Amino acid sequence: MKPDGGILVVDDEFLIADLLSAMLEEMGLDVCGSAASAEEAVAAVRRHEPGLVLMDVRLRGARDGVDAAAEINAISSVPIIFITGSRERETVERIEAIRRGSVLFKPVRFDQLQREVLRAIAA
Amino acid sequence: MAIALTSTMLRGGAPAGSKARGGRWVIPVILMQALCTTAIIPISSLPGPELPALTPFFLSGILTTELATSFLLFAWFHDIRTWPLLLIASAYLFSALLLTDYLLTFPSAIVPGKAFVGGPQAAAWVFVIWTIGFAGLALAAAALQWRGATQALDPVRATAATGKAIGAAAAVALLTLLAAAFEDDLPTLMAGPFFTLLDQVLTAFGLMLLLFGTAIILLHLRGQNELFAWLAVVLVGMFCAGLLTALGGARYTIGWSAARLSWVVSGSVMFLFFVRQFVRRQHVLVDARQALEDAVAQRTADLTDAIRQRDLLLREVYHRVKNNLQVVDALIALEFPRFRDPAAREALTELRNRVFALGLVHQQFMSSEGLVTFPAAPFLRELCDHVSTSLDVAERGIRLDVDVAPIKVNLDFAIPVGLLTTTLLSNAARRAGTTAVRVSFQRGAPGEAILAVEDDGAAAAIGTSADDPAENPPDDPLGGSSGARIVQGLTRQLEGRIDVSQDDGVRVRLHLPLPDIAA
Repeated sequence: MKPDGGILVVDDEFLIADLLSAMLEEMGLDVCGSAASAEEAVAAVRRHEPGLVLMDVRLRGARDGVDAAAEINAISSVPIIFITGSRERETVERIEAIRRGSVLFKPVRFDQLQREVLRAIAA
Repeated sequence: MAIALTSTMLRGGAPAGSKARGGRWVIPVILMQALCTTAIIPISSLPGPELPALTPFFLSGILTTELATSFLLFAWFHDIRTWPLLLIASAYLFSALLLTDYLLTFPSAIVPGKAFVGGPQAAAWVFVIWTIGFAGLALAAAALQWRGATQALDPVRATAATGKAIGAAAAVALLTLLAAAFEDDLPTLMAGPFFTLLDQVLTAFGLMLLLFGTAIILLHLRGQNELFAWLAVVLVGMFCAGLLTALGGARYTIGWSAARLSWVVSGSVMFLFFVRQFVRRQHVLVDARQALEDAVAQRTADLTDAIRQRDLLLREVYHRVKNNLQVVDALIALEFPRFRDPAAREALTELRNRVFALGLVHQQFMSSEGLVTFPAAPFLRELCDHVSTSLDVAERGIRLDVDVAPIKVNLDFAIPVGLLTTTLLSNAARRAGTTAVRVSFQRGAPGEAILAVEDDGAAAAIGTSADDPAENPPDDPLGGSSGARIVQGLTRQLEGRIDVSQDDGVRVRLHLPLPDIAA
């Protein structure tokens, strides 16, 4: 099963975004684009209308991935998988407050990512 | 003006310990006043020195202190807003204004040989009205305080009451002066230098008011209210002065002159009360400031300690990250002998150099002063030295020059720059025909650094895409497929741009916006 519109990867670290894209492509899924800041992420959602978003919490600029997800939620029903290295309670609580969001903690294994992506697509 | 006095001092309450203090000193002081007065009474009617010039001298002294005291009392009333305090403030203003009248009407005080305003009776009438008026207001204040009329007025009503009180005092003072100016219609109070019976009666009435006021304070307020305790001393001083004047029987007698001295003393008492409060508050302020400075010093020490602890932990984190990366490098090195394929060995060497670059960044932070930035020069020199050693640059006869400007970098900038330098230097050293490589990191346009790697090797095809490795040929000046991806991706991550030229070799220049801390 492939999500319509492909998958958007949002991460300010090029190497991480590149690795995630490679893992998704290995799963046979399409990556429609990448973004490094909250503003770029929102613009990419408007432009590509992806079927899934992989969202890092720490992004370039003042706004983080949770801010971007809240804005994306307001304009789209696309599911969002947060991928973060932070296990701070405040961050986790903010993520849990986002509708249609789930979370994976770095470092992410291939099988973890695949299971979560398939679950999000099937939902 | 903020009068630093507690409201409890006037609202019936008193600061801790003030009751004992009031009880201790008021009675002895009053007894001393009575003793001095009693000692003078037998000689009070004897003639003393006739020095009219002394009158303006003592009057101006009292006038100054009474005006200042009145101002302080009104300012205090602005905060406390009780009727007793308004009456005391009004009494002092009234006193200051009537003393002005007295100065204008007393013979020889301003104009030699006669009064400036009015005739021989004028000063006596002013004096009687002053004594009765002040004593009456003080008695009213003491009575209201005793009866518990100490609720604070609302601010608007208090302001209106202040205006009315000042207006009334000024009106009475003006009317008194006018009456004194037309003294012909007033009953006689002075017969030559002697006081008439009417004067003695009026003086006695004033003394009675002073006595009643003093009695109320001593019996009911002395231990509860510090202000009224001081007022009792004032009233007794005025009583003694009035008594000595009456017993002296005429101007310039011993009693009359001693009364002036008593007035000066009693006129200064309330001012001294405020001076004492000021000094007391100063001590409190000094103590509070010292306590604050101690608290700030302690807080600063705590924060300094916390920062030191944080620095210690951060250094430890950097140290452990660097060590872990060295472990990763060692693990890769252990696998190295298993590979015979040159491409695989080259990839592993490249990988080890990149891991080294990451570890070197953390080592720089570990030894940096602020743990946030470090100078790029030693970092890039050591990195280039390590990469060139791993690639046998010197053994292959390649000359390496490294030129780095004194630019500070932070973590988010140093990691990509380290990886970019490693990749570009490896590319240049491996390029066919290379005999010299130059690495430079210099300031470019404002807020921008230029990382340049130049060599004299063979020209190569230039790829254009970081997204599709197939578009980057193996001899791409940015490196093979993964090298080009990394250079283009990390440059984009830093929001920079790539400039490649190939004239007698290959020159790659990366224009990188510096982070704010380094710019």
